[in-house]
Amino acid sequence: MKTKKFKFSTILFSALFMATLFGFAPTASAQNVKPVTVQSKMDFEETLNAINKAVSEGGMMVLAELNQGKILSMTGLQVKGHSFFVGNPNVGKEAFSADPSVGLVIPVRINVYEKDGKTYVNYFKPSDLFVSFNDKKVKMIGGKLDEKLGMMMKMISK
Amino acid sequence: MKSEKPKLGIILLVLLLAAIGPNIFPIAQAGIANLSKMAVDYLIPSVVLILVLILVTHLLKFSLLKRQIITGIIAGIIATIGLEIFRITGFRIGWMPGDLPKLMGVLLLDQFALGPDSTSNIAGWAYHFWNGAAFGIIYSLLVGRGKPWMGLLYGFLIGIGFMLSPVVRSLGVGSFGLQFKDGYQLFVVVSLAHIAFGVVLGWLVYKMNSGVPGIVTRVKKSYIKENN
Repeated sequence: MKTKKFKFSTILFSALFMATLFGFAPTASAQNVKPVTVQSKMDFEETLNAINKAVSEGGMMVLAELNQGKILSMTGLQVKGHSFFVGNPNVGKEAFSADPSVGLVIPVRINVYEKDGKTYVNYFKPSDLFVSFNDKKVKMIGGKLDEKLGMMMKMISK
Repeated sequence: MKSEKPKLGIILLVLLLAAIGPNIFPIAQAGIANLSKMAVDYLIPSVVLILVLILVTHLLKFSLLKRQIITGIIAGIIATIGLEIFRITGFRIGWMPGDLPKLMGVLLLDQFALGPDSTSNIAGWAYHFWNGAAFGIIYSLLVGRGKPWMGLLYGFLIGIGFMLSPVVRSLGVGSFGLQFKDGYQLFVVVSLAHIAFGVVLGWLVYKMNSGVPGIVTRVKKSYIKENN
């Protein structure tokens, strides 16, 4: 009798443990998402120009820019940093029609910064960011954006 | 007979200035420069200089040339209305990926992230109609009176140029809009719209430019006069 009770509680505990583990898994993997970082073969200004052209050649547009360097200069900090918000109105229409909450991750952010005299470009892979959305179309768009960004990075990297 | 050389000089200058407007949008969409900055640095000065050159032709009593430029502007603007009938219809039935005058407006005022408002819409429409006027100037100066079918061909070629430009690529629909919907909708709308533009332009220029020589005739006249 005692053995049966033990087995039942063990099974129940294991089941609860596994459910918790799988429940937290997406959160854990989201927390492990790291940005893709690429070193540019050009200097900071040239990299910004190259991103602009690469975005266009990738069939996308720069929807907005954030010049963190200039903004932070108002605090006295001298740093080179610039973010591009990149997207495509046509693809955006598809994504937002599927799930309007994708506004959190679209347009995609590409960041350019300078460190130790070298210029780097970093971004979070859209497929990693889009994994939280249930819609298949949104996930597919994430995959396509991964490809486009990958091609862009090849154009600017060493 | 007045020398053609000063007139040819003015024609060349006006042609170069008129070409600025239609080209800054593809240049911006190619990622080469910002449309808003180019509008301030090049577009607005080009419009002002064209108006100044119209005044110059008036003061120099180059009446045919003055009429040629003004005809181009008026005919180009009216022809753009013809284009709009097809473009707006195409957009309303979902055969165009976006509303281009509104897009041009937000880019001109550098407020893409905020979307369009009445000011940016006015800017976009003004730029759109100025492009029509600019293409009208170019056509009128090149053909003089021409024939209506020349306008149709001219308009169609402008449409082809648009569908091969960085603009369609940056919208993500590919050349000729082959990546949009079933691959033919954009081509149909853009082609019809630009053919309509060309037909109206060609007809109006033919009616309004009676007795006005085209650039080839002017160059020949200049060459003959020099050799005599």
